[in-house]
Amino acid sequence: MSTKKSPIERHLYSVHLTGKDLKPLTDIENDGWYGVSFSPLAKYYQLSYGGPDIPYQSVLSTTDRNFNLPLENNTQLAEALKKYDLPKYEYGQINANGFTLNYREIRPPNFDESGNTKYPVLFHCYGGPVSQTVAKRFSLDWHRWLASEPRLEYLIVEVDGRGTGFMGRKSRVGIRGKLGQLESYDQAAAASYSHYKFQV
Amino acid sequence: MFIPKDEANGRPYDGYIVTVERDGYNHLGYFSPLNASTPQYITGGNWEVVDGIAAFDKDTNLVYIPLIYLPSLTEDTL
Repeated sequence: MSTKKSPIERHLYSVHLTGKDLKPLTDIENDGWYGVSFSPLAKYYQLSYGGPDIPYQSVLSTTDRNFNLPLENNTQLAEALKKYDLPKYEYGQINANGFTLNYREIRPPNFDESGNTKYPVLFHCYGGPVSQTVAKRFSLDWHRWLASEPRLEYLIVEVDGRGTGFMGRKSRVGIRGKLGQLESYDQAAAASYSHYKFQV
Repeated sequence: MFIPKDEANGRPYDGYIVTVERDGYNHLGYFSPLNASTPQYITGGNWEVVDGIAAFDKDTNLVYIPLIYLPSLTEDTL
């Protein structure tokens, strides 16, 4: 597991009102993107696991560890996906223009890491204010299809540059008054990094 | 989120919890009494809370928060 700090997961924690005793309620040993909705008295909560594996939803209790009411396990989806070769993911961070940025590569299922195979590389850009594209979250979309369709086998790269969220004020607010400028610089810096990495 | 007064439970005044900025990162602050001008910080460090407070248990004084994940969260904060 990476020891680098990165905001590409979401977990649920509890902390005492005094700020002491910060504790996870979700499994932090494994990657996860969790959402939560509590009952009014905070004794029960609906936990939504959004990936990176097959999503599920359960009702759990803050007072009884053994209470677990599954709402949805998506077993049909899990069964259906066994028939397909799904893309592989590579997560990392690059240093661009003085900022540490998260990136993700969506790779073809049988990606050749030796460097002998040349792949077309596409950058999937969004980068809107306080957005997040690089996330350990379940998704099946156009970009994953481009990577896993055997006739295409694109390598998709996503980078959350300056202006995107959850990395602190400094990286969030620099875009003020010049929307689109720093975002482009960071995508370009990432593309230049990719150029050396993949020798495309 | 409104945090009701409960003297027996260590909360002498009404208060509220909101997202505040602390050293350049979004964190949770507890303002109590209601007209307090500075918060008591509930979280801190080089990471951010993402969506404010999810729930408060008025019996246990526990605050439930969705966070960005940091492997070293408990070591370098609080």
